[in-house]
Amino acid sequence: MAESLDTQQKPSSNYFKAVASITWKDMAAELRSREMISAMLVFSLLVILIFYFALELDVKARNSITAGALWVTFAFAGTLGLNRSMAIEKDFGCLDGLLLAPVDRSAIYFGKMISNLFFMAIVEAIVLPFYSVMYNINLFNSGLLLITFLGSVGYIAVGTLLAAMSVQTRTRDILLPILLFPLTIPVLIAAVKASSGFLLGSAWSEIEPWFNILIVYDIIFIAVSFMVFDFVVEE
Amino acid sequence: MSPQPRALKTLNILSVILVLGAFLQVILFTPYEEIMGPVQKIFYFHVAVAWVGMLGFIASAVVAVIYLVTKDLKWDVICLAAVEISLVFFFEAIVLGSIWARRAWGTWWTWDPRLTTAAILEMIYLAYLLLRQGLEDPERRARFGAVYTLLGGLSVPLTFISIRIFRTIHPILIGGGGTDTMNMSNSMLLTMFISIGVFTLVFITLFWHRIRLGFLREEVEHTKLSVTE
Amino acid sequence: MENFQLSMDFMIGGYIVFAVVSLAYVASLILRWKNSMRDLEMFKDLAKKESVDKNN
Repeated sequence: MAESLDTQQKPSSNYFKAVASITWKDMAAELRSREMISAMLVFSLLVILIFYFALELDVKARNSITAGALWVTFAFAGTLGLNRSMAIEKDFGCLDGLLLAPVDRSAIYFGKMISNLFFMAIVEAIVLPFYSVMYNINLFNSGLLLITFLGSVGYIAVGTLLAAMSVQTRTRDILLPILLFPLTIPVLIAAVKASSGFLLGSAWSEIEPWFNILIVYDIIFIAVSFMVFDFVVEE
Repeated sequence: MSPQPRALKTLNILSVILVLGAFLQVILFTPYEEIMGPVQKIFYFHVAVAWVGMLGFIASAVVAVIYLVTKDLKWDVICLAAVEISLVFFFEAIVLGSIWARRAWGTWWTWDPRLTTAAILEMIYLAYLLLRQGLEDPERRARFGAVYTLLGGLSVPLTFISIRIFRTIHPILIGGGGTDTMNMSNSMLLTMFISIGVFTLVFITLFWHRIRLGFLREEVEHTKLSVTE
Repeated sequence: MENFQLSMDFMIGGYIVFAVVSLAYVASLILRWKNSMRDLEMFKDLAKKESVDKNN
């Protein structure tokens, strides 16, 4: 960690370097252990299987339910990953080390957020084709992929901040979904409606409001999380 | 803890009298709505407590920001007070609304934007209380609580907007309309504004009491620490 | 008329629920206040005793 922070350089490039090195550290650790992604993945695939039996997804129901089923899966898998990624930092004392680094603390937030987003994207990249094959629906729709990305950004932006909080509480992993779900309801509604709009081939005018909500949510919550992250890691 | 100041004592008495007065106004001096009949009279207190819930909700978000800026623990006590009162009043608003909906729309629950947003707000506030419960250190509890209330304050309007768009694309099957289509005579409007005014006063009174309770509890904690040390 | 009676029952039920919840909250405020006051007295007494013990 420390050697990659070259203090000789300009502060701004220093900041981006810090973000990149935190992201890189997470990815490298995950590449070695593959603990988190494999857990998220197996969990997601199981949820999709359960959906088949729970909802009797026949051909007719599939079109209207697919978007909802996918987002429930992503949301649940997302909390698993968020919990894990912050718990690792806490348990091995990495967070304290990161806090000592001579760099703005929000760099930690962005570093963690990008790595969490990356893990979620990997899970999504595997779940979507899997779902396509299992339920015989074509999910390779550029609009759907864009919405999936925007939704994940909003979800992870809030999730990273809240995970940093919940990991410091007594109840830890139980608390994260309770804190996260009520706050991310706009993201989930908008993402589900926009995704199903694209899947059903609705007109852009019907999808647009959802798209706008996602953009607004992403901007507001990234900005606010960036501003308040200091309060969450302060000792 | 000092005894209740005279202003608070006056507020106590005033609140009780005015709530009873508003209740009599609703029951005796307001005409029945033609179609719905007596059950429509729930509406006046329903709107009033929902309004108070909103007041508490806005107050908690504002106070959370003040706490984060000043780092003075007294603002945390005030924030918790606002959240708690808001929680109680939104609960009442939801229950009253659902009793009304049962008669007016034939169902206990509709996924109306206002109703649904109120329910999500309750969830956010319950999550807030759980978050506080999991933290020992008062200073950290205050910080995390303030951050969470602030995030809640930002997400709730977006939730409301998204549910509203959600509803307009999928029209309500049962009932429809709601308060917008209700024919309100002048005396009904008057009763509504009286109720809103009265419950704003009740809010101030309860808020004051709850803040005093918060400070008392802090004092207890301090004395406890001084004994155990 | 039967409809009117039912509507009336719903109104009465609504206001009863409202009164019960409100009174319960006020009661909880009073109860918590009393408990905190009792605790405060207790700890103050303890603090006094401790200081007396130290002086002896």
